Amino acid sequence: MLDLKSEVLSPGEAVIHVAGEVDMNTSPKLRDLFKSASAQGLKTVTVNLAGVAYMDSSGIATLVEMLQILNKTKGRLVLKAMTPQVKAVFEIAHLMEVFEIVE
Amino acid sequence: MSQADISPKLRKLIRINQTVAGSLDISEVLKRSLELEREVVDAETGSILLLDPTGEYLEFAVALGDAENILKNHRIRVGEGIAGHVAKHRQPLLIEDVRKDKRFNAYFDGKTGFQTRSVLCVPIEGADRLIGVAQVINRTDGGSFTDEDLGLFSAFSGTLGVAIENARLHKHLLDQEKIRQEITAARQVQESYLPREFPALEGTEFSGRLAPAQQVSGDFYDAFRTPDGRVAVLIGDVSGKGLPAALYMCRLVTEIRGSLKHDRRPEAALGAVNRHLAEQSTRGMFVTMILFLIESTGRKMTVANAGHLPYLLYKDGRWQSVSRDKNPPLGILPDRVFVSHRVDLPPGSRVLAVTDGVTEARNSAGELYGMGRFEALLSKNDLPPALLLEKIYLDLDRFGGESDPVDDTTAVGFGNMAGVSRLSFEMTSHPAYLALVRNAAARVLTGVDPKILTEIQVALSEAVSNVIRHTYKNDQTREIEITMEASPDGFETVVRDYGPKVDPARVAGRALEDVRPGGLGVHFIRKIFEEFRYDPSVPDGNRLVLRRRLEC
Repeated sequence: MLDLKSEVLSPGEAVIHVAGEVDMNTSPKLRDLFKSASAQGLKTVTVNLAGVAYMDSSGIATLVEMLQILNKTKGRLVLKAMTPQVKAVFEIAHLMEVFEIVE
Repeated sequence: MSQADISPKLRKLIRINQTVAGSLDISEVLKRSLELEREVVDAETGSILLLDPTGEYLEFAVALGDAENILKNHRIRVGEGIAGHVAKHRQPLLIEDVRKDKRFNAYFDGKTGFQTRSVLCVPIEGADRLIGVAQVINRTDGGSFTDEDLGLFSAFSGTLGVAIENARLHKHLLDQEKIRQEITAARQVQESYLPREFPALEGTEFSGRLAPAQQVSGDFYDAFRTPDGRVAVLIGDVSGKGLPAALYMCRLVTEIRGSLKHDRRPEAALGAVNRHLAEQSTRGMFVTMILFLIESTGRKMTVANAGHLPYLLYKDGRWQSVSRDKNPPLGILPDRVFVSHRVDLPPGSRVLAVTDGVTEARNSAGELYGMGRFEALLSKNDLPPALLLEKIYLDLDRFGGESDPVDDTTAVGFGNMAGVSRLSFEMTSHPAYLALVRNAAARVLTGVDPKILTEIQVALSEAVSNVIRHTYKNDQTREIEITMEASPDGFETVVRDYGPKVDPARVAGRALEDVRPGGLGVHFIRKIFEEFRYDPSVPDGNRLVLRRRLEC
């Protein structure tokens, strides 16, 4: 179960709201959305993770891929409102310093 | 939901019905247009014929004048007579004098007493196909129709074609909307009667699910505490579909609750409801139902089954189908006396009851899920009620594939799970089952620090993802077996597959800089589980053992 909503704030800026469980079953959906976001040449993408109850390595890999794409184009990926569950996974993977994370 | 809340919904349904029935009576529209057109071309009379659904016949939709009642019951084969000729060739036709035209069929003149002299007949065409033909007969001045009349009449038929197509489309949309609203209303009624939570009973776990099909039927389940402190669980199926069945179900649930206040025996409750239903049943509706009454200790229950599928009982390490009472369904024989039986529920025992939507699910090839598959599922899975239901619905989803279920699929389960800390299940190698893996871990690790639980869930989910992705190379039809157990020593899980052997030396976590789906997983697993080992003793496939200590 994964629910995705995206809103464009200004021509180069979008927020993606993610809710539900991000695993191998559902992460392709998130990846598709990222792909279309980067195709639109967005400069700043904020991913609101407030509704994410679970994330596994496929979800992290999807975020890493998005980060790499945005880094290449001098864009920004911001992860917002991480739940304790997601934070635990990021800590295991030592990824807290890799991403720009805001409350 | 109270009675007062239901009636606005019903009123809404009735109103939609009236709108559809009353809207856009196409023949009335056609009749009025044809009358106007008759005046334009100065004709004595006229008619409109529409192609029937087979496309082989034209049927009179409108006939002006006295002939209407006679003609309404007739049809004309495409290709026969003047109208049939026009329908076949889809070209306008002007006949100045029918007596000189061999296509003219005098049959209708004979029937109506009318004398046809001159005819204008044009096809009515929609966007991509013939809809029918329109014709006018005899000029009022006694002369014959002209090319100018033909031009006017052809323009008229073009307008008609668009009007009829629009009206049909409109009606189709209204019908769909009506069906959609009816289903939504029926579902809301149905859902409002399902228990939001199960009564608390020390050591006993409950679970219930109702997956409504496109067409709402009358499946139901309920669970409540009786006045004498027992827990009643019931499941059933009202015959028939749609709103009547759903409403009937609501009434039934209320009556069962009421009956148990007066008499504590389940067979008495069924008997009372049966009598009411049989006396008042409309349209041959009847109900199959099982009523379980569980003692407050959770160790014993009394069961009465009225014509429902046998329920399943897990005891002494195996599932068995119980069909002890031969009670008929409710609502058929008013004076029938019902019987019940008692069952011991020792620790670890479980009860499961389903409606036929489970066993009669079909896949896109039309194949039946069937009792055989269902029993095989039960024998291979040792799960507490909530997880067992989750597993059943996942399997049904996988089995059904793209095809929508035709019937409601309902299941209730409960079990005396005191002291059960081990579970096992099998799954196909599809990522949809990863949620079940995580939920199973949460169940076994009840009470453990949430942070540790999340870590274990992630690592375990990774281990299973790796089997799907690497060992089975994303073949989503293979088998994986999983056991989990929590003990004072810690948490142990075994993941068994039947793919090519994994070389443990080559299972290495990928560096974090090279994150791609998959590689990170092993890193997680090693970090979370103190023991990560492939059992070398299995002859085929892999047996991965993962263990972690838990602080209590």
